[in-house]
Amino acid sequence: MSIAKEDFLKDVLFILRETFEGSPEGQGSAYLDKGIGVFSTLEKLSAAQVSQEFGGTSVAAQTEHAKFYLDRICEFIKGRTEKVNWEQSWLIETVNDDEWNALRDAVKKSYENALKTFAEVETWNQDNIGDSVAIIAHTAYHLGAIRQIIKSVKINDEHN
Amino acid sequence: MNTINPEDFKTSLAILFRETFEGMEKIEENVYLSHDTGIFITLGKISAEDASTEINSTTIAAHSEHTRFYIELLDNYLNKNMRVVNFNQSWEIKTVNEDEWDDLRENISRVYRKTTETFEKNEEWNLDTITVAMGIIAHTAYHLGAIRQIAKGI
Repeated sequence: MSIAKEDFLKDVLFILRETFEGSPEGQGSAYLDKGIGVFSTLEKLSAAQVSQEFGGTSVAAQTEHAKFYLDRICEFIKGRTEKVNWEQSWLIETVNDDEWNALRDAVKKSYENALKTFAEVETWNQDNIGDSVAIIAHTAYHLGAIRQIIKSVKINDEHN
Repeated sequence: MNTINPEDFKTSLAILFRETFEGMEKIEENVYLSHDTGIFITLGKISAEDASTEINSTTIAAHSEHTRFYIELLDNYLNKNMRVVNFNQSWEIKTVNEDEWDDLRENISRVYRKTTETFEKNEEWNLDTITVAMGIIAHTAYHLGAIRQIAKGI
């Protein structure tokens, strides 16, 4: 039995939205606790907090890396064939206030671009299905890491 | 095209699921994880003592059991064997001794193998089942990211 394109698109958009925006009010969630998503996680943090290093990484670094991956995979979905230098995704470690605001705005734009990219796919095949689910899995992985780093940041802030 | 070949979906799902747990053999095969960062290799390097060490009010053992519980629950759903569960039970384990840690890791391997088979055998891919399958991968990835960050603090 074939899969309805509409069903796949609805689901992949639903889980992408949950990953970034959190689950919608009054609806069930697919895999995250209520109120948890990339945006709500990042919005409460200051530039100083996201620049603190724990375990050799920072929230700023993880955020930029996740955004970089999202952008490049969307490019692949749209037909990019050129190889990516993934080391460039880890160039940011610390941010000032302006840079942190700009990075969060850039994450929102990348997310909106991903929604549009998914919606515009005409033919879903093994490659672009894999790419779209990989974007979700990769963002989820780094969201999991970011939320643990934040716990360390808050404990550190309380002690200083 | 208004339809998707289920084999395309299942193959993509299988690749990402395998990467999440087993990692990929060759570096260039990695889709979303760095090399050697799957669940098995991550948990395989962690002792029962480290898995039980509380970092930021949680432990690797707790995240591992919660991840296993969630997969088993949704695997049952895909197999039309849904039972009412108390989701709080998924967080009941916090510390493990060596035997319990070995058992927990083996149970994760077992549920991974079972769900791989479930994905392969499932013929009904609709709004519900697609969300469930993608949710299993996303949820596991989320906790893998958390586990690897917690491990850095031990």
